[in-house]
Amino acid sequence: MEKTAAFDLSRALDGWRNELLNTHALRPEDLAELEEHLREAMDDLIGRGLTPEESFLVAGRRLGSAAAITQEFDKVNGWTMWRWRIVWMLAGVIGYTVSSGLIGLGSNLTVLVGYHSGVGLSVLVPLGRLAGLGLVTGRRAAWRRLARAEL
Amino acid sequence: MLYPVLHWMEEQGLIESEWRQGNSGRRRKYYRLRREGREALVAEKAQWLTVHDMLTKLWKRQLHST
Repeated sequence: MEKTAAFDLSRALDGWRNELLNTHALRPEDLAELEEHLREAMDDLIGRGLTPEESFLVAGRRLGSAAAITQEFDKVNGWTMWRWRIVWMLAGVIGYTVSSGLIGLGSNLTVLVGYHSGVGLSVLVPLGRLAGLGLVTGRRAAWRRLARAEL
Repeated sequence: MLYPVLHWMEEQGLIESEWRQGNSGRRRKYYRLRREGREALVAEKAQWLTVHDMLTKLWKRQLHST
């Protein structure tokens, strides 16, 4: 059977990347590292005589489905990801509050900025402490996590 | 999968990483064990050996008694 459409590697990679990004379990940095792994594995397979399409399929399959990868990252990243999400959510909320406050009430500028940065700090400081807590989970937990993750 | 565990260990300060350009032109992330990681490894090894010694002794005694 003949192929109906030529294989477009960059489109295939976009799809692969988006599927993983949509799970929200990986940070962009994590994804970049995985993508380099995938590309390197593909280079190796192409060197063994596979077509780019075949190598993409095989390398992708070896790396695992998006669901499987997500699960692996969630085992270890759970709390880290939440902290990361919360920080960005808060940054958005604070940014919005401050900017809408500035636009709406230009005359009371100084009072308003003082008020909003006060609110921002009162939210951010406890959150920072909360984030710090995550780092003190201890090393024993490290090895328990390590043991749970499939190497 | 190894990557999530590496990221977690990095966050704990046990290892550190950097992106480097390989010979093939591909970017690669290299991980290095930090002093804290080495210390943790020594501590974990000692703990593991303690448990191992204890079990060995217990089971030897059990073998002799049966």
